[in-house]
Amino acid sequence: MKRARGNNILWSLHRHLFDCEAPETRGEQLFFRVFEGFVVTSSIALCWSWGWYTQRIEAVVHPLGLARYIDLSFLYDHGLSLLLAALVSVLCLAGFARVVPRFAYPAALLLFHLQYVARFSLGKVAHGSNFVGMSLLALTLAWVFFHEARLQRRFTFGFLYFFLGLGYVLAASCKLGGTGLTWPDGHHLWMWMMERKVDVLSTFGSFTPNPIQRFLLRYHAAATVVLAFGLITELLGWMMWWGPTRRFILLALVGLHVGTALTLNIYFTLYMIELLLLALPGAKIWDQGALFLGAVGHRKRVGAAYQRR
Amino acid sequence: MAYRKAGRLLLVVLSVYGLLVATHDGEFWPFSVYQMFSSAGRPWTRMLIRDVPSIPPATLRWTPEDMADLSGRPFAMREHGVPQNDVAAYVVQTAQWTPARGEGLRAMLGYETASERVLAVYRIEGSLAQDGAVAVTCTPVLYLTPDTLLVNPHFDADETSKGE
Repeated sequence: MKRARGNNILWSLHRHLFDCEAPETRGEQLFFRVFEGFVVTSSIALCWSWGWYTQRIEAVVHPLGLARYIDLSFLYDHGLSLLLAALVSVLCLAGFARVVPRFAYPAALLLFHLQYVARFSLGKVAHGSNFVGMSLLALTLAWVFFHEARLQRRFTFGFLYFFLGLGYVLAASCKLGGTGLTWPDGHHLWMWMMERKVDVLSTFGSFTPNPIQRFLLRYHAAATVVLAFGLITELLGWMMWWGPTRRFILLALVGLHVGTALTLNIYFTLYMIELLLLALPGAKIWDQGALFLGAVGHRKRVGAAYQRR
Repeated sequence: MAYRKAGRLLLVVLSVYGLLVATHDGEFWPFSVYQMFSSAGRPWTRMLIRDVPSIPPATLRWTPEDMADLSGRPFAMREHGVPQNDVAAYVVQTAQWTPARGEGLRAMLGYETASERVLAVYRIEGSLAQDGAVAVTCTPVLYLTPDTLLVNPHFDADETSKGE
């Protein structure tokens, strides 16, 4: 009985993530291209941005990822990081244009990783690109392991729902593991706000708190509520694994990042765009719009036919 | 069949994910455990740079100051195309300021020796006081001049372990 129930839950998870049997609409096909275009554009932009900065790095301080096993210091000379960015650009565009995508996307992902570890080798890790990287990994696996275009698209989104949800749950777990149940204490937010104030001063030369920051710095209870909302939202990240709760939790996570931007001046712009693309019913809007225009077009054709008679 | 394949792929990637983050301090891009903000309430150390008037070395101040009383004007990293996070990590994690370390900092800041400007690098430390307020102290760590590096003689290398 328990095994049957467990199998049912797993089956339900598979169905909600991948939905392999449902027919695909034109809107879903188009929306996938929009999403894929976002991932490709972001990957290219990030690699060029990192490539330019890597030219200024003189030595590896804290090797990450594959840089722990391969000496990547050669990337800091002779514009090689820019060549890497160019290669990623060509490969991503090739994948998007469906020119040997089974080779292009995996190769782009590998070079993207090398560009990341070359750039962030000075001791400070940035997470703003992890979702884009996971998206490129999803595209890589979809094209390597699936041959039918519909299944490639369904797998890409299902993979992302699973690992994005897991990522937020892991983040919340780290917070609870690192600090305990007192993590949402408003004093902690004050500490981070002051820390970010120094960073903003250092970056821009000046800092003026916005009304939300002034309010939170004045009222400890409000700061506690804000942190508690963030933590609970992250803990519920697994809800995007199931269809009925997906949009709700995706929008709540967008709210979390908006809150992070307003309180701490930390902007996870790529995360927010990707979450919005996944949350908003772009495909449905397209399909409904096409239906409406199709109906209007049909009425016009019928009317014109009557006039000719 | 498709469900089974997708499920197996998910399981394989999950296993690889777990293995990589477990053996690489939680980070193996694009995999991560997202441990930022996990240590709440602990003291933090950051960095600030000020563009100060040229000061004779004998009159340099090395004592902690209030942020509002810092001399000179802000050295805004964005204006100079310098990623603030990298410089902060570099300064906070430096145990000993050797000439080579100083040159590395100059290169990161794009500091032109012909400019004749003096840059004061401050170590900013924040902690929770007894009353719940955040106490912030600013200690000058070094002064960068066109031709030399003046290090705070009271700078404690062990303090760098408190960096983020």
